Amino acid sequence: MSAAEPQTDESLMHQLSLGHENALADLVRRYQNDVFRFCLHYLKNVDIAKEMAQETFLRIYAARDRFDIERKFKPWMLCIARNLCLNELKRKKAVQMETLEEYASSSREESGEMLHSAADGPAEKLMAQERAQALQAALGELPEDAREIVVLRYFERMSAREIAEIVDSTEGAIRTRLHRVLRQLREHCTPFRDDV
Amino acid sequence: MKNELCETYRDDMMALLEGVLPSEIETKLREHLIECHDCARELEAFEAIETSLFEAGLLAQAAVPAVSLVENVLQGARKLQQAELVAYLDGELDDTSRAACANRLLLEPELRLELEDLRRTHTVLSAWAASTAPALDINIVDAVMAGIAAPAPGTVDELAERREIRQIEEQLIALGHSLTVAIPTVDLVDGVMQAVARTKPETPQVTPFKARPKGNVQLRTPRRRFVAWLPAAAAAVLLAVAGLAVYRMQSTNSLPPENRYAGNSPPATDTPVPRDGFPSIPPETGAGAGDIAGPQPPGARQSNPRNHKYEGATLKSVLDARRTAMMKDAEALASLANWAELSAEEARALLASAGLSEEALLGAAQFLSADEANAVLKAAVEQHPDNAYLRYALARNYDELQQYEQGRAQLAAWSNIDSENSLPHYMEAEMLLSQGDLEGALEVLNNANDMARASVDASASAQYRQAALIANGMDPDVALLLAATGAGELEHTQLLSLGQELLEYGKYYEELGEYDTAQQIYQAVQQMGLQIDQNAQYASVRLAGADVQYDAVTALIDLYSISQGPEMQYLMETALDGIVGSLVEITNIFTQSASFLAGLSEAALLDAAAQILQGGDSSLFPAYFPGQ
Repeated sequence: MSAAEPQTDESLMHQLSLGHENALADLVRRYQNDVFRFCLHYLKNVDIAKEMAQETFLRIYAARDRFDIERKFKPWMLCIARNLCLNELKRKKAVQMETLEEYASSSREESGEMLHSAADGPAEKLMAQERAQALQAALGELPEDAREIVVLRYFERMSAREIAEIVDSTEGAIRTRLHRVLRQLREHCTPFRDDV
Repeated sequence: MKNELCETYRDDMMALLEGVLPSEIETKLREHLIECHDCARELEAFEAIETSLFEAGLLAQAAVPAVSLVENVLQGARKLQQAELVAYLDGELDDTSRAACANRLLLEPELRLELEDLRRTHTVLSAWAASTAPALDINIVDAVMAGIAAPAPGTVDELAERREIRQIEEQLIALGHSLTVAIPTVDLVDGVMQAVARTKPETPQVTPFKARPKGNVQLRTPRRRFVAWLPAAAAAVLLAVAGLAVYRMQSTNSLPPENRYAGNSPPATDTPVPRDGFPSIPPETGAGAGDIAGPQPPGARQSNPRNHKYEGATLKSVLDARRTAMMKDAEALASLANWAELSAEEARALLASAGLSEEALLGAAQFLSADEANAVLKAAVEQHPDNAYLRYALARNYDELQQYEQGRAQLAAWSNIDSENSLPHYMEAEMLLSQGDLEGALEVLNNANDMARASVDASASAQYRQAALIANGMDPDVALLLAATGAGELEHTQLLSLGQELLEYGKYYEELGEYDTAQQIYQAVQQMGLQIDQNAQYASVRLAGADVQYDAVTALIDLYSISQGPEMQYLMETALDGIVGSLVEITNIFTQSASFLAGLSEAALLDAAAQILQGGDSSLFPAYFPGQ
């Protein structure tokens, strides 16, 4: 690996365990927004999410001697963040400030449209918009654990294997749950139903 | 219509959507999709839903404001690091964290400095807790007495008193906690009983007062005037320290009685370390060594064929035994004694062997009786007349043999080499007292008290011992570790013995009613302890200084209870508080050193051992040594 190439997460963790505090700063810069957003999915409160994101990095620092560099850093990090968030939810019965979908919604209002291909015509745009609205409504009806899987898979774009590591499950079990969620969404979301 | 077969493709369909389905399985799935329209429609719907979900995710991601956590996290990490260092100091880290922390300390000088700062703070707080406690006890008595005399319950006065008592209780609990943290847990019953049993029959005699036991001064118990808790706290600290001392005594006691005080030594190893006044001997010629024990073969390594005695001695087992011995484990003590010392027979066999280096020869002499060691030491002094350590060792030997004139001649030569060192004078005073020359002894003691330093080269002693162990067949790395971790223990015994013998003379004059003479001797010994403490390079030697001071101050407190008023007693009790604080600090060095070494990699451990052997514990823990 050349000197100019960025160090891997795992290498930075090794550096950190040797006492190089700069490695912590590098990891925070690299992942602070991801972790904050991840926490926001659970907590739906910007301030508390920021607090938990910060705490996640401090837990990482405190556990630097126990990190197995054979393991992938990011799922381990998000597992810590998830546990912190779930504990926080239990503790505070978190005040719901703004939901994830509301974020997406407000963003859509600001941009005036959904993301879609430039090749889409007016009819496709309309259909996409309709699907998105229906999806938003359907998402709101999902149970918490199903929403969690959706967020991790589609909002954070994690693989089934990574999700399994974070929620302490198996890859197969995660695919089964994803399949179930997609079916639920399909049932509850008119534009995706066969009979429409 | 979907059926059971469709369900078998469920996970494959999800893997296909994720893009991780192996091609051969994908082919089968595609074949199924052609046949099963339900599954095909489901897959199509899922793809559409996923597209929408990914789009929503991108929007949500874009909507989340960016944050900057670096500064806060680094600040938080800094606090965690401090907490970790405190836990390290208190021995509260688990094995993994302690090892990692020790490794970071080795790599990061700034971290080491921070640790030393914390340690200083810890020590100051412990000493403060000890020094403030008597007042608390008085308050408790007052409060309780006031409570007994209080009027009807529920009055304002009673409530105020209860609050006061509660505050006092809280302070006492905090004090107890600080003492608990500062003192390692030890189980001393067996060790103390064995040590007492072994010490009694070996008591050397002092002339001209043959009837008085020499070197058998008991540590005097703290004065009854002490408030109730202070003796307990002080005793706890002293017991912890005594545990270490017992361990050393047991090590020494494993020698035959005649060897107990045959202390002599100097550097060894296959790469002899040049010392002032004691140049290492070129192996090609064997010069010097040949004069004592025959020529040395070119390039001879002082490691004999493997000695079965050392089969269990590895770096790890030595460290484990050291750490376990700190907690007073009989088996660990036995292992250390077995490894770190030579039997008289082994020492004699080494002396008789050809090609033994001078360093190993001097190391072996440490395990011989004074009679047997004398010839070796005399030959070494003749070869190296400017070696201060050899002069010290030979003087001690003559003292053991009660050949005081020859001993004083060696001390005079030592003083010429090291004119700032008061230790030769204290040793001379003890010899003069042994010869009945009180006036001469008091004059020498007065002169010694005006000097700044009392020191002995424990590093040389340990290096000679290391060479002897290697020559006796021990693995050189293990010998290095044993010598380094045990450096200063022999000198602790020797210095403590010197202090106790001087105090015995003071006690003799006290019993004769010659209080001024007794006071002069006690005060001189207290000063000697201080001079040792202030200039020590090894924790064991520091401990000797503190022990000697403690004995002298308790003797003074006894004396003042007869000859002076309570004010003088109070002053001495205050002095005792300071010594107890010093003992706590020294105890910390032992525990921290053991913990620190246990956390190092093998290479780092050997580096640290070499550093300790050359420069003392003070090279690793300078903040604990006043002279640094």
